[in-house]
Amino acid sequence: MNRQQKRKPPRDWTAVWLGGAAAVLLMLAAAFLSQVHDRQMRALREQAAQTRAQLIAQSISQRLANATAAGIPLRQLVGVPEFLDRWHASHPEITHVAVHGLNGQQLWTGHGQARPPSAELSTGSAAVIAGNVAQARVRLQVHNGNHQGPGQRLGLLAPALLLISALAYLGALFACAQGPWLRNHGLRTIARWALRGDYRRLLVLPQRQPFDLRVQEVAQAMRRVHERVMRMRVLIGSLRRTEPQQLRRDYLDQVLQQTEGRDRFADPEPEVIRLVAVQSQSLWMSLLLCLGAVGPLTYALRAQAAHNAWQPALPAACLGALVLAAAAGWRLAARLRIATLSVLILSLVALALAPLAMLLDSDLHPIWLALWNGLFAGAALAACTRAQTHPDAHPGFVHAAPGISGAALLAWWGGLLWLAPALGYYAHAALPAAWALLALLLPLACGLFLATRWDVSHSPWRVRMAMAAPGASERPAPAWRWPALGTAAGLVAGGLLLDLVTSHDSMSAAPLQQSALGLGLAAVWAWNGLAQTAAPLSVARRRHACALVLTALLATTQWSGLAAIAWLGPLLLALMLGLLLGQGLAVAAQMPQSTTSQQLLLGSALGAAMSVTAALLDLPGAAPVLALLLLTLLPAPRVKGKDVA
Amino acid sequence: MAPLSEYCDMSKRMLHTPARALARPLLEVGGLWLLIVLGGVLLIAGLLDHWRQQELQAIERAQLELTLLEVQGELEGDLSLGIELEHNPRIQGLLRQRLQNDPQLHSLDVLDENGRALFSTDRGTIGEPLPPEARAAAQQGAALHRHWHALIESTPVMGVELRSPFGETAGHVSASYASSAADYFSGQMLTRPLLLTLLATALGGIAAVWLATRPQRRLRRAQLTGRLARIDAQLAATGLRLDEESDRLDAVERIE
Repeated sequence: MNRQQKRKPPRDWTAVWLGGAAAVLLMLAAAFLSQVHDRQMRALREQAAQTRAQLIAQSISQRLANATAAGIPLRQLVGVPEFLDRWHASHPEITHVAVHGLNGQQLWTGHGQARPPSAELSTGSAAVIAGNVAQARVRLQVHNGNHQGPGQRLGLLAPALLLISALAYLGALFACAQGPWLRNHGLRTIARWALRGDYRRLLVLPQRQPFDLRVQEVAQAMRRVHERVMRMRVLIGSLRRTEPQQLRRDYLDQVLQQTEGRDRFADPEPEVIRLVAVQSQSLWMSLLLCLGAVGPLTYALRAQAAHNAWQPALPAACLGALVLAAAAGWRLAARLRIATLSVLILSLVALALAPLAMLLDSDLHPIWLALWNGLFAGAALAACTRAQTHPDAHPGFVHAAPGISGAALLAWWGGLLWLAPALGYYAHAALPAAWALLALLLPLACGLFLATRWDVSHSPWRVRMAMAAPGASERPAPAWRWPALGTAAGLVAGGLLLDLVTSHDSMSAAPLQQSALGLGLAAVWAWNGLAQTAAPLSVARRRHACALVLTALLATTQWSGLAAIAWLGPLLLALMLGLLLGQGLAVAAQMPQSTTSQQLLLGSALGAAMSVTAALLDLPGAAPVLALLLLTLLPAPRVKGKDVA
Repeated sequence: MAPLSEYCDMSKRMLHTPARALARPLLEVGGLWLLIVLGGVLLIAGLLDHWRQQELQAIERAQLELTLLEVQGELEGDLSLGIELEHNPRIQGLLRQRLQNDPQLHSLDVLDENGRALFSTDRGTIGEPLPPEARAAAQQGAALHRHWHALIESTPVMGVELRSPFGETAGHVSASYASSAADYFSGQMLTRPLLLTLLATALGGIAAVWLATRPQRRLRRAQLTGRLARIDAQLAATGLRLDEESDRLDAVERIE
């Protein structure tokens, strides 16, 4: 069984294909919508510039009229060019301003900065009227102004596109893993048994899809054969017992032997093995939990308008409170003697209460939100981990391929570092308040729907939380390894959350930086094989990669040609932090889940506290550098190979 | 005794799939995915709308700024001539004239340095202080020598400070105006281009899901003629063997 499991199934590209298709579709939609937006804005801008030009011309002519009203003939006015130059200086959008006499002759003109000639100019003119007689005319040209080019706008939309594409990919991965991939894997396994004539085990899938009953049909046919053989065994056994003649007894034995042939049968019942995709279910569920817990928190932090001395420290403080509460929630939930699914549903409902409360009362302080969300998200995360590790300790269950060990942990950290704050940010930036909060409820609604669907008999989601998983061997790891990794993650997440919360400008680099971090995480997990229980990268390769990226970063920041691009440095730094964190978390995912996760959560609370200090001391660059230092100093992993507990 | 046909019709039964079985696999794989993608399109539209709102607001404020700066220039000129703000007789007329020039304006006020209205086109507000948030915004704006913005009962207000010749804050000029940017969500969210994009994305998404599930369909077809047929044959052979042996057993029983 073990050997068979290790054999790699053929790679299925459905989820990757769908992820790519999502990116392409979204890009096309963004290009089209942005072009429509551009056209509308150009018309609006033109109209506004026209009005503005007219207003400025009127203003200038009014001033000149006031001067002539004082009795000075217009042509003898002194200092008009300087007056016009002042207008040029205070309104840089003016490209040309001049005062013309009634006969069309130019009297004065202002001298502004030279601008490239452009078609996007609007003109305005106003008569200088003194004593009810028009004496001159002010003519003015104003540039329409263009804040964002289409390319720039697509660049600003890129983090949102990446976010949605990543979510779409993960959604497709989850749907495939618990749907067609599970059934394909089931059919491969049971077909191997059937062709080998091994009737001792039967494979059961948790859910029946009426359009694809391949596994069920084969299992049913195998069960029928097994039952017939059992009946014959019983019949022959009873005949043999009452048979006085040895010769006939031998004949009956021969019949039984020939009935069974070379096939193997169980006595009396075949063992039932359940194939469960609980790892990918747990991956998706903990991602939804993270989105539902951290998304509203980011939203609330951005929506909060108060300005005081503690304001820059608030995001990281809330993050610290959230992860600390999550660790506490985990501890509490692990002692409960109720089913994991009950804990999960209760937590999802509790998490949904937070956005609902925000809908009713917008003055809810983010720190309460962080504590509440953290507590229930931690409890639900414990439930996910418990269900996900159940099949490892119980022989009646088999993980579906491709297996994702430590799925809940990876999804939680991926969500916390990238997807969830970004979702909260975009919900606040793009939608009006009521819609945004409803949008933030969607992940929780999806989670509730799925949780009720997983409530089937013998589901691993029905095990009790407090039941100790037997045979979970705890490997000794350096005591400070996971707390240090958690601290680095907390430092990075705290710093990025602050940037996201405080960036009210649409040109801010914070979303870009965060998606660079996310890309780093995704690259490492894809390379390491998120889907495989692959050995972590060897020491040499890890160091090598670190050194290479560090050198590249240093080179780019030192090189004067690139030093001018202000956003490149932070972006590269975020990318590298993502790579290193991804590596660390990929190794952590192979460890016994509950202790590792606890240490990571507590460590990240410490990291968040450190980034609070950095924010209070006004040292924004310190947190990422410290995280980088911690990550490069982490000892290389000693363990290799698969270990899921 | 189970008839032989029961063992070997598995793959044949699976070949005849009902019509609804064509849509279900697509929905299973691509339902969640399509929802996320359509949500993404709405998000993009929302972001673009948000930027449009920002730009509209900037345009409105720039136009308003012009009026305010003019009033500021004239009043500061008067201040430098030694006419104190509260005793300046021409302010009321000036404000009324400016209000008539710009239909977007609701009211124009001249406030003292503490935010109390000295002159206003809306006579009822003369002598009234600003609400606390607006006063805080005005004080912050004066401290930074910038325009200030506030919302008074959901009406946007913009102001500039008036400075005495000695550089001290003598008061503020403020204007409340009708903002077309504020209510942009009321009807324009579901525009025709957005609906068109949603429709196109949904169709493209369905096509993508159809293409993405093609290997699965091909695999199933291949399995029906390959692996499943082999299993059929194997199970049928076992069934035959069982039939033979049970015949022998029947014979034994008959002899007895």
